[in-house]
Amino acid sequence: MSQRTLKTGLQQATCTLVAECLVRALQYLSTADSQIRAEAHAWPSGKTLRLEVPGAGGFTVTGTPWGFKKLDKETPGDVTIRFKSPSDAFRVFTGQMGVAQAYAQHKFVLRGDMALAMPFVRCVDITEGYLFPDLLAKRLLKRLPEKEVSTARVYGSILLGGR
Amino acid sequence: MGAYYEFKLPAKILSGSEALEHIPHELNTLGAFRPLLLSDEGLERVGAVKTVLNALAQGGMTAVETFCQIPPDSSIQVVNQVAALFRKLGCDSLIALGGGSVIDTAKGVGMVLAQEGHDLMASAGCEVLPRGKHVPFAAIPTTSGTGSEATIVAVVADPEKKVKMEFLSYHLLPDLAVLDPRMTETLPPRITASTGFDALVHAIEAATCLQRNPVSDAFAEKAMGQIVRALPVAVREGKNRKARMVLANGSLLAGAAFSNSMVGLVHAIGHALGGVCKVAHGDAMTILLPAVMAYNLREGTCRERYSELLLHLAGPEVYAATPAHRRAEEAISFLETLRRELAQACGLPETLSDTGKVRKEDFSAVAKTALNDGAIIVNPAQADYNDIIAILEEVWS
Repeated sequence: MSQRTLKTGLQQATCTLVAECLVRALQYLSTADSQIRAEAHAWPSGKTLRLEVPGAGGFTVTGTPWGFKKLDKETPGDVTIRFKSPSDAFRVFTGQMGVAQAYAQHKFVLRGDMALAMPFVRCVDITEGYLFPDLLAKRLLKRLPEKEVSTARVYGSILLGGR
Repeated sequence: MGAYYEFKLPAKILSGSEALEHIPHELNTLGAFRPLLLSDEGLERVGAVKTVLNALAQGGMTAVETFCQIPPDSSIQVVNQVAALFRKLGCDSLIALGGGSVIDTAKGVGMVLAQEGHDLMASAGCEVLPRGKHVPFAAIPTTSGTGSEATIVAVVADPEKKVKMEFLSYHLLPDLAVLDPRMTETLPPRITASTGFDALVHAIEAATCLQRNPVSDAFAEKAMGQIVRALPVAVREGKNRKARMVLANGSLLAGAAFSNSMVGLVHAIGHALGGVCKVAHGDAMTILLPAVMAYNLREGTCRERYSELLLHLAGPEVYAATPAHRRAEEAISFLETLRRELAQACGLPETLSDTGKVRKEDFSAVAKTALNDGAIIVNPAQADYNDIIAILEEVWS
């Protein structure tokens, strides 16, 4: 296996792992954070959002009055965000680049109604505010969200599968 | 400025006297001989459509059909209707004569045809579509505002959802951008001012938002200098062809700039005001620009960049005479003065209440819609629901 292939493989594996953590954090914060709860509650009924990383699959979520819910692995998205390369996704998932910066630098494409993606983007921003240390989050986010629960509690929920 | 950027240069530009007469040759070189001409009823009434048809005839070209029923805020339904007409008549190219609504309709039609589909909504998204079938497309702007002749963006209304949908694709760019002084010289002062301010907002937001890059900065900075100098002249002396052409070129440059660096919060709120309250886009831009710039400044962003822009807006003497720590505020003040001057000259609205289309009860719907507008992502400062409500309150009266 070439060094490049190994690097790409590691990046894809990291993205898969972090994506799962992100979804679990979102599921937990859907109940613990008032802003994310409101976004999930206001989500258009039955609409789905899919996020894809080349070579690492993806996940699909939907918002419900009870919070964000992860759907079956291959569920199509009414709106799909697809990173252009695994390294682009890796930078975002590992906190090297915020979502706004990734958008501004053409790191992903979006299929579907952008207005449906915007609530998800806001929720990811808030979640990053919980998951990353303030020093790092300040580089990624235009404004740090007010935390309503501790970061330790969010990481604990990730270990417990998003509960 | 980001570590990575992409920039697509604008279409082939035909700019100046008798540019219209070159369209047949240019379309022929693109393999097109049977154009569908799209316009609106107002332009048909003032004779602009006839001027274009005569110019085509001089080059031996006849439009297969002239469709002039495009409304001021075109919709997905109109796009789908025109695409069906194009196929029925066996046309091979599009000529769009009009403001943003007509040109964006043509872009939507081109996209439906290129994807060999029937519904524009199937093409919604950002940078996702393959090129598809190439439909040669000439855009002739009749306002100096949207810059749509040089952008990868199409804004088309979805009346059911009361929103303006944004479509972004590099394949939306027209093949030809045709700037002919005959097409803008009859534009009334009030619309000249409103659309010209829109172009100015394109330049300023392109020069300041997160997606800006060295090439878009060059286009935007040149554009804003041209617009602020030509706009008051074009409003006062509509027949001044020199001012009209400077303004048209400024608008095109601003379009090329924001097409590649996007726009920010002024547009996010402006699109929402258009979708929810039917405020004309240029009017919304005029009303919002200084307040949003002040907001960005208060949030701790843009001070350095707004300071730099003073040079391009007000010129070297004013820039040099202004202390460095005051230049950002002076840039905003310069724009407020320009707006007041235009308001006095032609009745351009300065507040939301001036438009007579907005009620305070609409603020909540406007703010919620603005939050879901893609333009908000690249605004330098974060803006949440309460921030947008505060801006709307500020520009109310």
